[in-house]
Amino acid sequence: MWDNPSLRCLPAIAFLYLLSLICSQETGFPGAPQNLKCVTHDLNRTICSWDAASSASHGLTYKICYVNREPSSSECIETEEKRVDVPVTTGSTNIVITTLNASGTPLASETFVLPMENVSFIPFTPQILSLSPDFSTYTLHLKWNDTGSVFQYDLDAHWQIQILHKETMETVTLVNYDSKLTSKDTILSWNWTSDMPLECTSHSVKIRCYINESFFAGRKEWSEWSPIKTVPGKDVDPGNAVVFPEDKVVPVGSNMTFCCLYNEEECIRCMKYGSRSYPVLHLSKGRSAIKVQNVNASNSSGANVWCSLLPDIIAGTVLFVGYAPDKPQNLSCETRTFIIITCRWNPGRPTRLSGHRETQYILSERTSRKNVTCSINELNEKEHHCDFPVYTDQQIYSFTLTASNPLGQAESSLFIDINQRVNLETPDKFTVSINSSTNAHLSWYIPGNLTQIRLLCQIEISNSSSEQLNVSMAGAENSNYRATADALRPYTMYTFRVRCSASEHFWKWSEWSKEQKLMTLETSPARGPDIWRERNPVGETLRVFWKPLLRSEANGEIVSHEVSCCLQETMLQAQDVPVPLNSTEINLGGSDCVISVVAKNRGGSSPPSRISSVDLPSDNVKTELAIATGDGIYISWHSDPSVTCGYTVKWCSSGSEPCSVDWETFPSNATDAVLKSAMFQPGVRYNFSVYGCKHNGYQLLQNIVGYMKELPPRVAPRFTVEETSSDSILVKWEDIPVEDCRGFLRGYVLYFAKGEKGTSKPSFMEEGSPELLVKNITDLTKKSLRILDLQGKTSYRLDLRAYTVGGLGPSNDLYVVTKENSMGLIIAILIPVAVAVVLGVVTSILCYRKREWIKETFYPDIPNPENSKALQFQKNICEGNTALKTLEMNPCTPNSVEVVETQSTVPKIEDTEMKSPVVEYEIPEDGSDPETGSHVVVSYCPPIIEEEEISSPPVDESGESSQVIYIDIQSMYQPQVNLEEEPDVNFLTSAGYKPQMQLSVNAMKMESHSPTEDDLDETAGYRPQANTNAWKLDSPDSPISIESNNENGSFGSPCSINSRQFLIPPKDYEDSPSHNNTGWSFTNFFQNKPND
Amino acid sequence: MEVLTVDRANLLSSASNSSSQQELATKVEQTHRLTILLKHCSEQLLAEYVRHQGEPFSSPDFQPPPMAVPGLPSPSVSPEAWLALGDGEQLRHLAMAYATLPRLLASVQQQQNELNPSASELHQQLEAAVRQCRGLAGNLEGIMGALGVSSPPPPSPSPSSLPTSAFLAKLSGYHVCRQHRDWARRSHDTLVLLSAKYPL
Repeated sequence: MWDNPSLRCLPAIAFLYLLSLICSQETGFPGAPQNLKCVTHDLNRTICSWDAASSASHGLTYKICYVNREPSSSECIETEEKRVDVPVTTGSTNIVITTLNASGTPLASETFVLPMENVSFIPFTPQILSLSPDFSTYTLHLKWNDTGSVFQYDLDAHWQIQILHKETMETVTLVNYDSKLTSKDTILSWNWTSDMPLECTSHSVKIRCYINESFFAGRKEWSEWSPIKTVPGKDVDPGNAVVFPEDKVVPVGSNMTFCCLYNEEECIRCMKYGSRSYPVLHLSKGRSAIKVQNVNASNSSGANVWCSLLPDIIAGTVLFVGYAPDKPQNLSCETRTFIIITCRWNPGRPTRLSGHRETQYILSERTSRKNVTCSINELNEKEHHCDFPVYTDQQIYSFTLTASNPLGQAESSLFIDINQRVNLETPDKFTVSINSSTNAHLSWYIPGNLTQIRLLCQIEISNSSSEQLNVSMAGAENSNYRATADALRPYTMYTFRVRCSASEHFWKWSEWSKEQKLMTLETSPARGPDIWRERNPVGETLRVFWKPLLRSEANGEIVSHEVSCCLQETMLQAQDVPVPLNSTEINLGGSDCVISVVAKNRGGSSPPSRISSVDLPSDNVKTELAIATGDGIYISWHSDPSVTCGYTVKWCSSGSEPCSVDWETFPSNATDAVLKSAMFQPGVRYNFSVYGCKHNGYQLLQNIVGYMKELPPRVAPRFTVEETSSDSILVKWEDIPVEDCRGFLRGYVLYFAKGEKGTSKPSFMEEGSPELLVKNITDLTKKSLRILDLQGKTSYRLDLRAYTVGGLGPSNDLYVVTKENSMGLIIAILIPVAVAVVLGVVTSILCYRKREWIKETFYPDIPNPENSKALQFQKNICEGNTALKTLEMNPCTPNSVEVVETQSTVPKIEDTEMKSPVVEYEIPEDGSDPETGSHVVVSYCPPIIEEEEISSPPVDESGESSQVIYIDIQSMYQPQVNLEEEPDVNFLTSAGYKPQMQLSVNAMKMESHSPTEDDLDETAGYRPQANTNAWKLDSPDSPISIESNNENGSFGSPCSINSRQFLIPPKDYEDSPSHNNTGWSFTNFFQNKPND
Repeated sequence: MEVLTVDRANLLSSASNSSSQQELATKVEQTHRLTILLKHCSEQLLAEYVRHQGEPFSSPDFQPPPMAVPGLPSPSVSPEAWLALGDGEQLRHLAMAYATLPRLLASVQQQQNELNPSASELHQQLEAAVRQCRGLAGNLEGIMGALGVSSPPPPSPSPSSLPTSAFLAKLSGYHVCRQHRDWARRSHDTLVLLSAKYPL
């Protein structure tokens, strides 16, 4: 620790210093130096100054002697100033300051011990060399000298730069800056970018320094601040307010400060960015600003920033906000003509800048060191392109595309071999010429200097399908190219087009040329038509058939067919048959020949097709069945070794008449085939004839019938019941016509079950009832069937269906009732007859034995109603009225009442009516005379005989039992009634009891009506008082019903007649008509009497 | 677009005889029709112009204080004062204005090419306005010749001081378009009076 000399001396220095202080105080001279302070600026010399608190300091001089301990040296200086410059030493320095008067006499002397630690190191105050503003970038450029030459060795310097703005010198920022001092003067520079345009207000800068000398033991301090340098803001003329920054281009998202500068007399009203107002910051008088954060991309003409001033001044600026250009994407270059290279790229994100701010593209090539400026309208083009010239003898190009705008730049590079980037122009002037049936000559033009490459051209030839023909050819300069397409089909419309590329290094096909359509020429048909012939069964003519050639075989449009008949090279006859006929008839004239058919078009004739007209006789031709395959018919035939030139299968494709002949030929070794034809239809029977071609003619070998697809029969078999017995039915049916079978018939199915007519038909088959019986008849020769074990006299339902492989046909059903069993019938008749006879005998015997009792009971000589059981039935009905039995035969005193007075008619009747119930018990009945005992009434309650003085007129006439004397009125009418009554009724009414009402009602009617039959009918029977009509009608209370009651009063209501007490109500009730219509009780019913 | 070329040699210094009267009336009527078109087009142009300049120009209540356009006489005289000027004076003012307007409108178009390169409708309308103004200037010259009104001195080719900032360009363009509209109205007023005085 004490290695350091200065440190070792430290206690000694301290002691000396204290001593010197004491000493100086001891001198007591007022001008003695005090407070020695020492500072170094350059670490070389120390400047010490002191205080001399003397009032008469003028004329005084100071002698300063300083002694260094290490290295030991001593020096004295005389000066009039109160400061001295001493060298800096590592150790401490003794300084003796002697104050001398003008005459050189020492007045006082002070000794200071100055240790190094007490020396301050304060660098020289730095001086700003220049402060220059860059208004466009808001940047201040600061320059100053680091005065490094002051120091002998390298040192670390720290600088503090303070930026102030406005007149009020507000600190904007304080920045530290470090540098190295290299013992020589260096101009340091530093830039600072403001966030506010420099025009807006004044900006000032000051600077100070601190040097960090680590070996310096004393205090190190910052230098003084340099003098301030100021860049003033922009001043404006009156009336010419301006807004800064002007037309600035900034990236999206920038934070901006805009200031409005105006005259001090003017007054700011508002300041807006776009349409939005922002709070105005007042910088100073006539200077205001707004801050806008995070600006959005502007439109093409920029975002306006303006301030509105009073009085009526507007000032503004435009801010263009956008993006720096993207790196050009997908840069690709190719040549079409070897004259220029076209480079294309995608610009990426739009910069949103236009005018002179939009992106500039420069395409530069390294080998040739040429640049091309691309003129691109960024707004109008999605994909940009730029052309670069092709230089002769240069094959490799190294491109760099630079995109730049005021906000930045980006670039992309591409390295290409021009021969590998050939995208030829679209072939032009494409022509096709055809002058044969199979060849076409093509020609086209491609612009460009293509001498250094070979071309590969693709010719597309299409009609129904398309094929590509590739041709390679040497390139030429702006030349026509030719090619030939051969192996075309005659008489075919072809569409041609062509495209080309570089053949060696394929890059891209050119666009297809325009299409050319042309038809190849016709040529003679490729082969003769398929032919067949059929001999007319009658006559000697032969019909020759041929099939039309396929379009690919016809090689043109077939105009006609030439049919000829040759016999050993001699043409017997020939005819030309125009299309579309496909058959002709030849008269053989008794001799066979070889028929040949030639198809002809405008290009020529086909080779002839030949067929012999000879039909060899055939015997024992069998007919066999073909197999349906669903989409065709499988036929097979027996191989015939004598067949040398194949087999021909012929059929009528229409399936029925008229026959349209179709045929197919097969080689000699074939024995089967599947025939397919669009004409075949399912369910139609086709007849095939197999002919063998032999050296001397055709022979029919076999007949085959078949279906393409078998279907269920179309109709049901017709069947009838031939015979029925009590336990069997014989059914007979008929064959189904072949055309309705729609397949080979395999059998019949007979269903039968008990069933009545009227049961639903489908259920019969579907229910699968246990009684359902099925008989399958597979023997097609069988035409009848007996069904056994049936029940007698039972209805059966029969259902017959035919079936093929295709399924069951429709059903035909019948209902049959089996015959009755005759024994059963006989038994069924005999037993009841026997039983009846036995019962009759027994009854007769019983009746005979008990005849006395019967007579007493049923036919007494004098009937006793009390005992008569036959007459007691009403008791059950009218049980409530126990007092009233059937006939209460009160002692009758006939003829005891005589009417001697004549009463006026109407009132009398009314009286009678009303009073009759009252007087019922007082006046004995006279209707039934006990003496008329022969009269018996059985079937109903006898009428109550309660007439007072009225009795029925017939009684009078009968004379037998009439004991009533009639009143004059009644007698007036009665005879008329009687005349029209049947004798029986007369007897009945006259003999039996008379209803009370009968006469009165009649009397009433008679007053208003002439006596009619109806009226008379009513008089004949009993008149119940109850409103019988009301029992039938829904509304018994209506007056009409009451009235109709009178008209249609029914007979035989014994109850009403018996209920005497209610039948004739008291007069009180009668007077009130309303009473008649109230309620629905029996009582009321009885009270409902006719009011009239 | 109707542009009338006027052969000054054939014009009479005074409209004395009837054929020249008829000729004058025809000329006045044609010019009148041109001013109707111009009036309509100039209003459309102003609307289209402000539509592309952003706020505050596109704001419906944008009424900046009048700004003198260098070289262009201001039509700021009140209508009464204008009518009091008399035919000759009115025509002289119109002729002076339309001698300057085409150049100003062309420079507006130049500025808009830079500011709004994609506003094709605006460019078309500006081009049309230039042609219409030139046509009207020719017509006015013809009428003045027929009426014996002396033509104003040709406008001094003032150094085309294009505005320094984009905002000033927008603002000066606005004033040119607005004055174009005002002059079109004024010329229409004048020609209405003239066509009444010189009926066909």
